[in-house]
Amino acid sequence: MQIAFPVLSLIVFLPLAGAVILLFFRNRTAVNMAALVTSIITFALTIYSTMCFDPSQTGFQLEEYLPWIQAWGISYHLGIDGLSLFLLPLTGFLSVLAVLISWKKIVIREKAYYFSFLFLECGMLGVFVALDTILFYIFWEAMLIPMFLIIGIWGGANRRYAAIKFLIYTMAGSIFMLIAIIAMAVYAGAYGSVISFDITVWLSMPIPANIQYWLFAAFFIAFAIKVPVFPFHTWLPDAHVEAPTAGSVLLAGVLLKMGVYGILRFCFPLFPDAVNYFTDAILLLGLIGIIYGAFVAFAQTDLKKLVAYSSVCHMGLIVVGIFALNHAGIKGGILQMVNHGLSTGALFILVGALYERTGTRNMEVMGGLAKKLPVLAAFFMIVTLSSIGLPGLNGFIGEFFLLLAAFKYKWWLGALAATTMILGAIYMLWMYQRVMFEKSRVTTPKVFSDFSARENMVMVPVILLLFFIGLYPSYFLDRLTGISDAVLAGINKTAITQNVQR
Amino acid sequence: MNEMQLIDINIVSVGPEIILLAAGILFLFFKLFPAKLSRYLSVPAMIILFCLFIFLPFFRDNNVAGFAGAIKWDNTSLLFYILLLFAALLAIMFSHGKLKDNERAGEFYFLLYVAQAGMILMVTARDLLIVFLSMEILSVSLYVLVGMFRAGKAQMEAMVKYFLLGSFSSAVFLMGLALIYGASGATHFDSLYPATISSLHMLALFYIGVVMVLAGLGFKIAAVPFHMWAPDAYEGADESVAAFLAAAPKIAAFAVIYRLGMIMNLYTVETLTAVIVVMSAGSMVLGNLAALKQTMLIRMLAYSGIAQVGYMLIGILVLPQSGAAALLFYLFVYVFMNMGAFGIAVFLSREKGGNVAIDDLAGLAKGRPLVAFAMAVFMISLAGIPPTGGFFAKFYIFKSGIEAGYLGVVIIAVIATVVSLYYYFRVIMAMYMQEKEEGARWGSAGFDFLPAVLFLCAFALLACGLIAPHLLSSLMPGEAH
Repeated sequence: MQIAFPVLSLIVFLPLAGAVILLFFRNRTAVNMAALVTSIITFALTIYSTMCFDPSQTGFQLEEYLPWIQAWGISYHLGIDGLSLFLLPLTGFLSVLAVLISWKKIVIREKAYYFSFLFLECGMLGVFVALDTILFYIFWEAMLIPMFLIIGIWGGANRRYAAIKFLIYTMAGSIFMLIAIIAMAVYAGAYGSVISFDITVWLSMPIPANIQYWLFAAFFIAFAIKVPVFPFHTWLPDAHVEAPTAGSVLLAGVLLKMGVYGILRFCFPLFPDAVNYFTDAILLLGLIGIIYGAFVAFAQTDLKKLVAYSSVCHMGLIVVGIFALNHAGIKGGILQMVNHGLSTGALFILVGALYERTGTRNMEVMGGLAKKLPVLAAFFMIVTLSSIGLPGLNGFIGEFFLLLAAFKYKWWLGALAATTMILGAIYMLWMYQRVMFEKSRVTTPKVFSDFSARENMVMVPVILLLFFIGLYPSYFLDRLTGISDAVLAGINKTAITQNVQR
Repeated sequence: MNEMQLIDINIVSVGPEIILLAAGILFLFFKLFPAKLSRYLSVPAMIILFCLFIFLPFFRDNNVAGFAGAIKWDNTSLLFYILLLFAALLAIMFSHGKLKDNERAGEFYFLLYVAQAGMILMVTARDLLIVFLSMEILSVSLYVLVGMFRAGKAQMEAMVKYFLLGSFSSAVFLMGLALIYGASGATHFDSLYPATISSLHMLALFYIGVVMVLAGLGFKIAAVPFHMWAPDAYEGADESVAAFLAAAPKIAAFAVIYRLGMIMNLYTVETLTAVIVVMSAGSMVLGNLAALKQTMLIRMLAYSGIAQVGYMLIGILVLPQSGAAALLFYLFVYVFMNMGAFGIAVFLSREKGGNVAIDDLAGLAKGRPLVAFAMAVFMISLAGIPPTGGFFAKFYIFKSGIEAGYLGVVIIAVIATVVSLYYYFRVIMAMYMQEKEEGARWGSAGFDFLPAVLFLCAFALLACGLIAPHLLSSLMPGEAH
């Protein structure tokens, strides 16, 4: 579909414009409203871009191209394909929720908060639409600073430690990615005689296998830290626990997705030889993440930490699924990215709501809350079940496809990965039991107010979406066929030449 | 060598220096004026410096030369010249309002102008003897400037340390110059081709001489292992002088290092490459590690400056190719981000009095949001994070390093960058995430000149991302040399 205006640029820079505009408001409500209006319009635009997308075509759509720094081969190049298609509205949606749940909660420096917040949104959306790697890198890094501030200023007691840990971990990975990006561009210059940072140019050139290994490693570590894949996950619990609720929602809902997005966007199509070479090692890391994450989640008494480790677990499953290198895995992985964003985001919102009411996140001193907070408990139940993967809800579809992919790769891989269903059910349901049922151990205020209208307004659309994906997954899966073909094309080709048995 | 004719002198080629020296001498008579005017002396000082931009259209593309070719203005010299003017302008802005008595005010601007004249001579010189001469003009005025404001014991120590090490490095430079002359029989850059030296012994002497010259210049840019003076001297000097000291002499010395490399094509020689690699890697590793444990803002910035020099030296390694433009771009960004950060130190020391610790920045975000924002931009830029100019500068340096095959050094630089995040972001954490201890508020009486300047610097750094292409195209003549 041809459209007359640059919709992607609008999507990316509208939050930034909103951020600047809200600096001029003095009134607290006005600042809130400005942030809300900006995020809602952005969300509407992301929906619009999804509708403009033509699933029957392959390649990038809604492309925008402008030369930027010609001497270096850097351009302003945006576009979306099946991979970024649903991540844009996901980001837009969670941003609206995040503004709504921060409404009354942020009591210090609201202006700076919403400024960082919209700046962050600009970075997140930019990452998903940038097709020039330097542009991608700029968005990727520019996103770190607002997140650093959000954790560090509006976070919990140990926020400064968590903020700097988050920053240094992520930067350490991404700066090696920068080196790999430059090396790729230099190689592109040697290959095509024009230096270029454009990913569409890179996709059309063959890269010798011996170079691929190093470049893959540099890219993969940056993304693995973000996912996070097992040995690189230690920043995640700290950042999640200390971040304010809205920060946790975006961290889990969007930032973690960028890792998988990066792997699928860069590592798979550009370095197929290296992907085939490293698959087994990465599958092992993914498996460790699934099982280790679940066991650590058992041991937690802090609700937020439990949800954080459950993220490690879920993201591990996505990594296993996509590195099984088949259609079910890629499609399931992309869909599960959306699912995880919704359900874990919702979990963080609910945990935040509980914390506001009880003043604690310690499960040992909760209990019996279902009677006092029936609406919240009902929402919590649905989201918990979605996270476990109950059929009829969204989590089931994603996990099913991912496990199917794992079984297709090796039966024992599938069997081990499937433990996530059991382990997840155990720690999540046990958590639910301790928080909502049993005898009340809450000592502080005896009377709680249940969900307010604003909170219902936040949760109801999430719940509807959980059901929608669960009951009508083909809407999403149909749109992912093209991209999973494209991602796997190069890999299968090299797999044949390397005689990999699959 | 031809005998110099009067016509060869071409007085225009030292025009800026003459204006600076004449104005400087006029400043010395300022003590005849009433003392209460002294805080406004910075205004004419700024205006005169600003007027020096007028030389740009005359010198551009004209290759004005003088003194039988000992001085030459090509477009690259002009770029260094612009950088020097920016640095001096910022330093004068920082010093505004600092000098309360007319006697020292006059002397201060006199010395600053003399130093500036020395540096302009340095970036246009095409003869090692002129380089030495201009370096001494610069150094002697800097020695005095460092010790001028505070008469404490520590300040005297800083000044003496700077003086002793500085003179020693000048002596090393001179020794190197003597060796070069002995080996090649020339001091003019154009006749310094190692290829013309036939005997192997002479060639060895020549290279030893070049290494000694590099050591002398290394002192001026505060590269490891010639960096020891920097933290003490910066801390001992007034913050506005420290800001000047941390930027301007580095520009001038880099101009000479660059010139040696471009004209003599020296840095393709392996021994010299190794020397620069060691200086670069050493500066990055040591500067960053030492900066980690600093508690005083100025000392932290001093070590950060040492680390920054390490990154810039990568540009020197790649000289015949893209290194020149990369280096110039880095210096351009460096002037704003580093001097901006020192400007914050000036601002804080005005508010607080005495040396500023990093913890003193606590609560700045609440008290003076714009100043804190500017400082955050400087720190983010120094750390090399987009969308600031610092990112593009680092990116370009890394890119030229990788293109030329210096992947090892670039990887050291990358690891060093990760380390540097901690201390740069500690400043941001102090400003935004730490509360001010005593109930003391940040004073904000009326229109303040300094925060506005700092904010402009920050804005320039942010704009660098957008105008990077245009900046680069203007830097290209240096590359095409």
